[in-house]
Amino acid sequence: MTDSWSRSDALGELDPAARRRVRVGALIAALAAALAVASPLFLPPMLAFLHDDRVQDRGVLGLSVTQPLFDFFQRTSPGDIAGNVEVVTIDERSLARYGGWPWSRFDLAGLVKAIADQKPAAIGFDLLFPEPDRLTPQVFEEYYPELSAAGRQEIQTLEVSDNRFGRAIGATPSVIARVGVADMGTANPLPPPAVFEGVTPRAIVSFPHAIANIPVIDGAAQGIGLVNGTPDRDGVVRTVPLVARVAGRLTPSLALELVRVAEGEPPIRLEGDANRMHSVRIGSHTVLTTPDGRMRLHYRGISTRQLTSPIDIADGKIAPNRFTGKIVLIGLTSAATIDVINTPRAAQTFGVYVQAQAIDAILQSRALARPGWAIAAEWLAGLALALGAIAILPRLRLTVIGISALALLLLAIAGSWAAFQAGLLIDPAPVVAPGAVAAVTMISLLFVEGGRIRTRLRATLDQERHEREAASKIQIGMLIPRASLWKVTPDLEIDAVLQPARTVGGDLYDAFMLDGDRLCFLVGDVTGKGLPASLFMALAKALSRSLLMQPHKDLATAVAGINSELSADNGQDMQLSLLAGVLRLSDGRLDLCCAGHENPLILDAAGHVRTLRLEGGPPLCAMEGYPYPVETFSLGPGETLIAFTDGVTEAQDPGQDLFGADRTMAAVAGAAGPLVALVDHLVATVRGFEAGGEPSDDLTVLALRRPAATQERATTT
Amino acid sequence: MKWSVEQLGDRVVGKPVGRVDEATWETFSEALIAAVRQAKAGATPLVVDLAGLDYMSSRGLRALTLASREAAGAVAIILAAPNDRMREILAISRYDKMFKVVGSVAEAV
Repeated sequence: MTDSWSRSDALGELDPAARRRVRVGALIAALAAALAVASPLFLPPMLAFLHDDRVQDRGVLGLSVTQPLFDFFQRTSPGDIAGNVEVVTIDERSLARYGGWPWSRFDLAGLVKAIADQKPAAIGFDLLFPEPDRLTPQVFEEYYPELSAAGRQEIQTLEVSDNRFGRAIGATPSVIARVGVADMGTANPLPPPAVFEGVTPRAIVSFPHAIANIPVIDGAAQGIGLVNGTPDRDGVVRTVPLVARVAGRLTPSLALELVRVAEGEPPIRLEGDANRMHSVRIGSHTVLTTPDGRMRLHYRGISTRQLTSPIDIADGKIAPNRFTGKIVLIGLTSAATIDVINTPRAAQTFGVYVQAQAIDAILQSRALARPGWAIAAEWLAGLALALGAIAILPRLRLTVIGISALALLLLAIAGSWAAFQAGLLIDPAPVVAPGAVAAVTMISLLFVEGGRIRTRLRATLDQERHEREAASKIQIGMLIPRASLWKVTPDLEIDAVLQPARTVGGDLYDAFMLDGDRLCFLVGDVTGKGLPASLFMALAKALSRSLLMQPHKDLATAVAGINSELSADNGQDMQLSLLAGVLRLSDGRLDLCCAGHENPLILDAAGHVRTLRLEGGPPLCAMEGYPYPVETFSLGPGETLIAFTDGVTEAQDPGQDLFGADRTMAAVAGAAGPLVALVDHLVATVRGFEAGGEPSDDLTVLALRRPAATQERATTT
Repeated sequence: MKWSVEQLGDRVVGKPVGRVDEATWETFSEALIAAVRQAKAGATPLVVDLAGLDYMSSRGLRALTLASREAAGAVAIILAAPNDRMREILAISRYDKMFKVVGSVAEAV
């Protein structure tokens, strides 16, 4: 299958039904992926019960895929919140000086007064004072029964710490905290002073009860703001309510209320309808919200320059205008603080920092929002990518597909990141997922279909191989087996080897007795190799034997007959080189007829080799009616006749050098021992010369040796 | 194998260069047949200049047979300037009996 990818179209080699299966499969997979990623589009009632707008926005799968990505964007968003928000941090150092929390309201009043002296735009407390101060002289007096009545009287006239704190709060623009709860607290707290306009949607976040400050504090503040966060189901705070219903009353968040107080108490306008909110407008700021009135925070860094310890305020170590015109938040930031929450940007952070983020977001009008067109745009892009993948993918190499997929994924994530920085939540998952799933499905299906083709092809090849092997057996069966050659005649050593270059070949040999004294033998070579040559070889061999065996016909007539018969039925324009001979065993007379064949060699008893140079004629089927001459020689006692095909002389070494006549002669010269050893040595020498290379042609060697003991008679030439 | 053919006076001269073997014999055969037809059309002999040929397998010899059959006696095919190896190949296959073989193109008249 690998190489099929290098073709122009991987679908091209599939039949139409398989092509349809691949395309439809990929399309269904793409749609299924799109549904899984954006299920709320189709299943809003099923998921509406999940009070987690991440699910409602992006689906269960989209959530798991995209939420970590958006959280990553939160962590990597550059920049800090603007400098017009300051945080006074009740930290370890100040606890060490003023004692554990809660502090005496005298100390807090002093802190507020010190900040107020710098004329801040507003002071906000991310702190609750639901109980009267225990560190006031009126409480302290109860522990001293020995005090005189006058002393007791004097203490009673001293100012109560809560009142002093209240006066400090009342003397500066300030917002005090309130917490919405399901039960406990009070169902009837002091109404918050904020004025709202617009329709309050039914879906707004709601708390039946409130934990409020003691009335002397609540009543002194210019504003009251809700400090609840709304963590997602994984406990991470990604949203905070801007407006909520607390104990039956519409209440702004601490951040919104601080902006309201800081900017001269304009009305808060809720925009949307009776069902859903889409934004909150205050003064010149418009903050996009979820339908139930929450703001999605786009977190930024908070510079340490925006943090101030109460110690430095008390010691006068800050610039005299540090808080002037700014919104100042006071909150707890010590290790013992219980107001510790998780945000996407920091695993453990203080609630007061989130409030600072919220104030900055309102001032900058930069809440994250999912625009109305987001789902449609994501879907269209996803569909376009999926269809594009299905159309183009089969034409591409796997590496190109991989690189393109990676590039598109990075592009989608980069686009989403850019949109995120502009305050838009654009989900790359529904854009990328359908195309990716379609691509993976398509590649898998292509491999499956390719596998089917391979299986079919293998079956065909197996069948062809079986047929070739059967043909090979038949062809080998047509030749006298090497081990049976001795049965031809007991008066002569005969040996022959035939090695096809492929399973079947075009070489042939034969040997048979014409009568009690005359041995007829032949070696031939059909031009070409493989199946066509082997068929022609079968024909030529059968024809040769039948014509040569006809009594009273000399060798020349027989060869001429073979030539004419073979030429007559030769549609394939095959031709055949043939060396046919008749050896008279009694006296060694050797008649040879050569049709374009290699000259045979004679090895005498002394080990000398000579070539029998034959006049001969062109190969059979090359020229019709050619008068092939019969040439007569003599094979002496102990002499060996060696005939062979061009599989010997034209064997090639890796450098394309030919084995040639000289090497052939050298390989048989001086051979002693049995004839089989001579033939084997010649074949082994040729194979050694080829050095493992593919044989260029079929190789045949036929050798006849007259026994040395035979009484030599006069040759009748 | 590279093949070129030109009309030299009253002869068509075809010149194969390289090797005629399993891989190239079909090209050789087609070129040769075309040259025979060209010679036939001009009623001139065809000289095959073998000077640039290193080797010819039996497939190549068969291509010569086919060319000879195409000529059908109307055009003389003369093999010129074979190197030693080519001369041996022609001798073993006895093609030197089917074709006139000369030492150089100039001798092929």
